Amino acid sequence: MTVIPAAGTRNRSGLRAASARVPAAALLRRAGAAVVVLWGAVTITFAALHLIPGGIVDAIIGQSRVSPEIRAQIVKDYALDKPLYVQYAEYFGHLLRGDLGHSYNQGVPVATAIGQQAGSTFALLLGGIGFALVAAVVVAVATANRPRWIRGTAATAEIVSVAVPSFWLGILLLTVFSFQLHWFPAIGAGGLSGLVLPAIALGLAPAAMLSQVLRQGLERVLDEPFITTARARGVRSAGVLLRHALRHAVMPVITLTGWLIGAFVSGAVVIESVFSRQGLGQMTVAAIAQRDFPLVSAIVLISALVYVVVNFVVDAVYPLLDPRLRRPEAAAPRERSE
Amino acid sequence: MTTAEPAPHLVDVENLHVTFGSGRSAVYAVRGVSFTVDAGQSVAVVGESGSGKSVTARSLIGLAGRGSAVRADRLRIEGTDARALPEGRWRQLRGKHVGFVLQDALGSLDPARRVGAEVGETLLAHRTVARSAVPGKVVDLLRQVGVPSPEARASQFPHQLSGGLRQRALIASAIAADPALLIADEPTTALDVTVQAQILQLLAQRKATGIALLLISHDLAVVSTVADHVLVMKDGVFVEQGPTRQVLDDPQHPYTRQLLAAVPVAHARGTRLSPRAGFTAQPRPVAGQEVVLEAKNLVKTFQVPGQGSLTAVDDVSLQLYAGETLGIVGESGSGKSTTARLLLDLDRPDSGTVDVDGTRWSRLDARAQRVLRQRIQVVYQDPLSSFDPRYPVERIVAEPLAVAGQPRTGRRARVLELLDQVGLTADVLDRRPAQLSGGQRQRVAIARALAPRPRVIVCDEPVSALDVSIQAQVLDLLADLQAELGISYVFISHHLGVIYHVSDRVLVMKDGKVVESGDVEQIFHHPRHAYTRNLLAAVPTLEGAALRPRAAEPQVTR
Repeated sequence: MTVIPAAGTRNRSGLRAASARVPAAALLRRAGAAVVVLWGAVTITFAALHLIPGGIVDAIIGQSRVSPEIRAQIVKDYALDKPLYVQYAEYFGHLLRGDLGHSYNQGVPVATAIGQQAGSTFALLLGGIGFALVAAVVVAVATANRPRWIRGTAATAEIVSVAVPSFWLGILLLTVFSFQLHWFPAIGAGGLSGLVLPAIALGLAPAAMLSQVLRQGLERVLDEPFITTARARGVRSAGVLLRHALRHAVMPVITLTGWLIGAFVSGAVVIESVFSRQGLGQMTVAAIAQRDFPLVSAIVLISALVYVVVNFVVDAVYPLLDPRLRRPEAAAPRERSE
Repeated sequence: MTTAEPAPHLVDVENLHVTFGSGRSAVYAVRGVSFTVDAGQSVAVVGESGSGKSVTARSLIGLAGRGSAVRADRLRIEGTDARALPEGRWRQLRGKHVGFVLQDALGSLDPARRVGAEVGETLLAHRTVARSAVPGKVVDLLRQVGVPSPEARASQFPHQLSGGLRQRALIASAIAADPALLIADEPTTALDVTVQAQILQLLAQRKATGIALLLISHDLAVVSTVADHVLVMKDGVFVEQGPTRQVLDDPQHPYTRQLLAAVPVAHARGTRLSPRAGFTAQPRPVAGQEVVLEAKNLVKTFQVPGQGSLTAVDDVSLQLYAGETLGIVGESGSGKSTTARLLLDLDRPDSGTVDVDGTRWSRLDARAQRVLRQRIQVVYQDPLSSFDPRYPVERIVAEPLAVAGQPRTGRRARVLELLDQVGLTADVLDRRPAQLSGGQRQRVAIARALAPRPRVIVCDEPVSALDVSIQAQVLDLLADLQAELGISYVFISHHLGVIYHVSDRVLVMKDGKVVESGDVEQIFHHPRHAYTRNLLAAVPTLEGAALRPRAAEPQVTR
């Protein structure tokens, strides 16, 4: 964690006030960085709109046919008859007001189109991430520092899981658990039981990556002297793992999860197709095929927003897990010598 | 040790073997040791790293380490036969019957948990007291081990405590369930001398309450203040054992004598600490009159977020003459290392000047500074972290030669010459830092420092991470090089014995200020400042008292 210089200059006026201000300032700074990322995403979609070959109005309406009145309305809405900076400001203004535009292919506002599909995709993402984290923790805790054949089996399974394409895994799961065993509903089913197979198909590869990282982290932590000390107090091995080791080992896993959000989102597109689920993924594929620019650019912006929010949360979680990151005053004012 | 008492021993070990791995790659860490510890007794196992002393201690709680095989004819702890004990039974033994204090209290307390939770864990693991009574008992324990305002400390995290308080908290967690035996593995090694004295006193207090102590240390002087009985360990066996006084006063085994001679205390000044055939005591070179390093009124302030500014170095001035050693002594946080960084121009002072060989750092451009850097070199405590782990020794030592513009062709010859000067042979050329022993690494660090033919070497705690006997060899090497090459040293250490042994003149630092400076004899025998007197009083010595004037010294040197 970096320290804000402004907080340091103020501390003569009062130590407590300064140290209380620092985490808030750090959060603000991260929020500022998040805003910059979003602003970049908006600017890129705006630039893309202008770089698409053909007219801007044609880009916006995509493959649908519209009346000249609507064309005129689009020119007015996007301020296309004004100078570029006015167009940019107008584009921005619409977004700030929560107006994502109108999908002329679907004949509904973009916000409505996305709103109808977001719930299903959100459930899939949560399910996939949840499965990945739980599976990673269970596998890593069960195999860390165990005999070679157990670790070897787990490591092999992990490599296979990462290597298998998710669409193929999805088809395999459907074939076995839906069509043959009839444990779970097949194509297009809603509800919790319909979520199980897609969530596994989406989360398995990330789970394998995370469990490798977590196992390595656990094995590193288990060599630390405080682990030996805890064992020397007579603590059970389960207590040592869960109370002491896991907390330290889970930090890189959380970082990696933040990074993997992108993989989850693009994975969701494939999984929705394989399982014929409704969702943003299916809609995106269709929107791209139909050159529905307002919808595609809105999805790009939402992906950026999700990514930013998740990584913001990840940053906020670190100090909860490691007290050394909580307050700069705690960051040893002592010398590093000796 | 005699074993005729009718009462059973607290710990009774006979013919203990600990082996790691098997077949050709097997490491025989402990090879048949026997000892006993009785209630209220204090036994010390002394030896170098790798002698098997820690493994011996850990096999008493069934934590000898992964891949270890423990065999013994007898291994009884409080009457329990601990051979082939299932894990569940070991767990009942640990903490409740045997408390264990590891070296390095920062690493031994879980950094993510509050001190109170760490101390209370022992109580919870053994259900010693009701769950609701745990917080009160924790505060009670912290008070017993001398932690001030224990309620507040219990709710803090380990990194918010000083090294001494952490060690106390660790001891509190080890004695929480009232064990009959407390094992302490190098309990004071990372601590300042005054804090070390306090911890030793605390251990002695615990012993007075009836607990038995098993101390593990590489430093005979440290354990001699607390132990009744000493076991000297080397290569997995006890080479000598007996009552502490007897072992110190009349050592029988050559290795014990070597260990004793290696301790740098008053009487060893100007003599060799390590045995080496064909060498006698090196006469100390006479320091010249030429000033090679001069610092005037150095001030360095750091902004500590949330705590205001910290003046790490406060108006420090010093002069170093050719061929002389200037010792800088002080506790952690006294500003020694920051001073070193300022001398080396690794940090710029807020005010004040540093002249090397009459040239001022701040007046030079980057190119001229690089040239001047060849005149002042540095040796750190931990060479492992100052070497690129992927470089072989040859490249490490040759690097400064390349920087100095020495043609490629002559470099290998020069590297060999340097290695020879520091007592290494050509077969280390291709080894990497991890493949070297601690002593070899420090020799390589010295060779690297010597490579550009500097006039000054700043030694920042160069022997603090080394065993006593290796420390002795490195100190002797530095003395030889000074006699041979006329190099000047700024020698920084928290160890007063080492400072006394190597220095001509001494600066005593506290809180960034020089509280006292002068000739080494004067500082050590007629200290003026109260802080210096406290420091000297805290030094553990083989005589069990403070450093004594030479007249009173017993003849241990050979």
